[in-house]
Amino acid sequence: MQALETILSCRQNKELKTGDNNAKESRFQQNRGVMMANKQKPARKNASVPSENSVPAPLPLDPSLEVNLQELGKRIGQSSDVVFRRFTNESLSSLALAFVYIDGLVNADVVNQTVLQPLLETVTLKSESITATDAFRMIKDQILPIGGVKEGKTLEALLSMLFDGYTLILFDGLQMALAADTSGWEKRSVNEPTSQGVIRGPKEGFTESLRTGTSMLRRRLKTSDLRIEEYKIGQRTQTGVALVYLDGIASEQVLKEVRRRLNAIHTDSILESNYIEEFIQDGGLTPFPTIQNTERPDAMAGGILEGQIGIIIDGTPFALLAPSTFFNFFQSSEDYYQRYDISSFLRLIRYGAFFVSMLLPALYIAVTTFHQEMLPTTLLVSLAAQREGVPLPALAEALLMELTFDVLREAGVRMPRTIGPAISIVGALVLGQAAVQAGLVSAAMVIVVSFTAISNFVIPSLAIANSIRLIRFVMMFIAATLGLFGIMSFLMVLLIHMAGLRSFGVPYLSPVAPMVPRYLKDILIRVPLWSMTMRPKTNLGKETRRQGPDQKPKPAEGKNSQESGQPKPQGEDPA
Amino acid sequence: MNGKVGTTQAAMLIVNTILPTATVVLPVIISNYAEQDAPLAILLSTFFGLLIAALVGSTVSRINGAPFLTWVGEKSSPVIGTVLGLLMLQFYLDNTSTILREFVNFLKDNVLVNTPISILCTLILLITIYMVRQGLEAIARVNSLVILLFVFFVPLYLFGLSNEMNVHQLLPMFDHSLAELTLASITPTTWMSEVAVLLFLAPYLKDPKRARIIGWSGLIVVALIMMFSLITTLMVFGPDFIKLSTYPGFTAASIVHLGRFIEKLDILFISYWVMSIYLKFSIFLFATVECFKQTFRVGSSRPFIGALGLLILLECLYTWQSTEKLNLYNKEGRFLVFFLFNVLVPLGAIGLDRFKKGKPKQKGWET
Repeated sequence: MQALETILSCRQNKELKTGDNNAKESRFQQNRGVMMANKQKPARKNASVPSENSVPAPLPLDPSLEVNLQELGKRIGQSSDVVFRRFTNESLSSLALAFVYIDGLVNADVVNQTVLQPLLETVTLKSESITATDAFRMIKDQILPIGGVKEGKTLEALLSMLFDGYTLILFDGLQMALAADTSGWEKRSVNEPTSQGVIRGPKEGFTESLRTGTSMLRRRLKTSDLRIEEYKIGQRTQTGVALVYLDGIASEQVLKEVRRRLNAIHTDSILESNYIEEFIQDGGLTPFPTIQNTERPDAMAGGILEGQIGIIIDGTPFALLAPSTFFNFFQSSEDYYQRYDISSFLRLIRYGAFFVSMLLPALYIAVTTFHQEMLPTTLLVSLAAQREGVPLPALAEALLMELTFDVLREAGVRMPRTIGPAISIVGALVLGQAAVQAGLVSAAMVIVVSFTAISNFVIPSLAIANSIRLIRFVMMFIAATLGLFGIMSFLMVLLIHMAGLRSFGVPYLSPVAPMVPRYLKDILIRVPLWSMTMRPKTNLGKETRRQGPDQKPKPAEGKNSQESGQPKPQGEDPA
Repeated sequence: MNGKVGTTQAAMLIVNTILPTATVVLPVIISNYAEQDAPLAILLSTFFGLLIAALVGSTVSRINGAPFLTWVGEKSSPVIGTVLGLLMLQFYLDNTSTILREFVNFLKDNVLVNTPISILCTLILLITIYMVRQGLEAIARVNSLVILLFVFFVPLYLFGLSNEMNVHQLLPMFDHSLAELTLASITPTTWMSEVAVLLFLAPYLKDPKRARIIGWSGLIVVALIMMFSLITTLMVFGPDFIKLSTYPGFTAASIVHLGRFIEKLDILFISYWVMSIYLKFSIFLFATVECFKQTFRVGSSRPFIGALGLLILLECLYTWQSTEKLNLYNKEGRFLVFFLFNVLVPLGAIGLDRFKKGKPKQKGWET
């Protein structure tokens, strides 16, 4: 490294002062001025309307290294993390190079060992006769021991790579530059998913790194049919978005639609998967989610194998799956990691919890307010006795408790973990028991609200659980106004709304409405895996085989079949 | 939003086109004439209903999914098509408003006694307009889900009443003359003739050639459920009580109990019925809108749904204000009107088609 330092020092290394101007810069200004003038024409009509394009149009590189570096410096500003290094020594060689990288986005060791060191130690580059074009080819094809080396011809393309952790190598006299993949920023290690834990099954979740996400899928789907298409969305964030699907299984029609919607996104920032979700999901103002999100690579692999299309977004561990039907939100990856009978039971519990979570407070209000005759006499007497001292009507009582719970829940998310138990005590004792003892709410209402809250957490998807939270409040108001008739009327509105909803062309309630009986094997219950031979065409457009027929395990036929037909365990000596 | 509807879904639509009001209105009317022989009257009306379904099915097959009134206009003349359209529009407006009135009357009598009728009508209408705007495909999907709930409600009803049923209440059988049975079957036949709504659903059927199957299967399910409802109610109360009760089916549901804990479930059955009648109302509103669209040849009917809904609301509130008037119409006037529009119109369409096909083309002079 000492030798490296010495050579570098004698080659007039210096940091560029990005604010400097010179004569050549004016040409850039002129070029850009023309380009921007075209873009800004509509804005002149109305000064209050901002320009649509906040990012300059692509600008080709100048043959002069000096001009290129100055323009780069100007674009980036006085950012202290951007490193400009020159590689020139006119006494030894006519070749002038410059490196640009962003400290923190690159792995310093990789930059030193695979970019700087090979370049400085290569004798040919020091010869006077070498031209910039030859040097460009040699560096690209022979000198750089890096897998990812790209060429860039515009400043925008180079900047984009620079922000992805590439090291730029600019040449004097060339309108092309090289970008070596030296990315290596600090990353969170792979951890257990926090929002979708399982008892049995893989414990790793996606991280904020897009490449980690795609690699996790590659490790699970070792097939040449796996396709990963990358997009850069967000003019300012240039967020990497990967479209992941299985060729031949994902519907071409759906794929085309997803691509169209992704390409149609015109925004300056994508910071989380919800940005993409809101831009591409069907339904507009619907309270129901039409795209799943998951931080489990196994769940995503499962979805992709079912013909869904995965969307991984750089910077968030939450990836998206589309198209998604209503019933997808009740399927958990753990359903397939444990026996079918318990999975089916749990799934039924989830549907039950869905209805409880949505309807229980409303039903309580409707029954206690309008339809007391529905209750058995003993229960009615008990409820009446509890409510005797309560000054509030059932709706106000329910609203009070529901809002209290939502406040506690929100506080639980924001507050430091060490205070958690204290808040639990406050919530359980002060707001629960004390409120009942003070006669503000009835004990039955506390039970109703608690059970509703717990039921809400049974639903595996937070997206649909959240939508029910809002619907529950509407239901409560309607129940207090029109009783069971109101509840039924609103249910009808919800049903018809869901029946008309589509997720990328797939009916939201399929395969129940429209009903396809043979596709119900993994909807309300889950039948054994060997029984699900065909892959439903719900997401596809064609029905494909998932596994061979007659996969049900059974003993081999014939008397001596066990002795003759059973293969020996691996590694066991046949003798 | 209006996609095509499959054969099974269409048959289910026919079930809910007829059943919800039939279960509420018909038991009293049939029992007044046929008493314990009411199931025989249902059988007789089903027979007539199947004939009408065959007629309507043939018409739909002949027009092969084309809009009915447009087809009539092309086969005869645009004036005839428009005049028929206006008459049918009036028929569907009347019919839809009576459905709304029956719905609201039931709610007023049984569920929301103190709520003003205008509020109930407006609310129901708004929800139904939303349903129609979502399209027939969405209505058909929800309809199939609601019909699936029979799997839950029928066993509950049956087991809940098992201790109360006495088979001797059905005796003596064949105690009524054919004339009485025919009289008893006239009103149910008018209900069965509502299968003619298929004429306006035809453009949305995936396979219009199977319209006859759609009508028949729908009617058979309706007949089975009506028989089930009537026989169980007869076995619980006997023929005399049914004649006196306004809604005997729901009165029977009110004594359903499983043990001592689950009892008085009429509100549960009423809630289910509410969902069914929403669907019935939406199917008829859809047919009304479709009739309007075909009559006035408008490209999109969406802007007119609200206006037609307002007409229905006003007719419901002011024309059918009196329950007696509605009952009298159901008992006496309905048959004639339904016979005209649900039987004679399809019959005329078939005749027109045959006449046009049979008419030899005028040959020109060969030169």
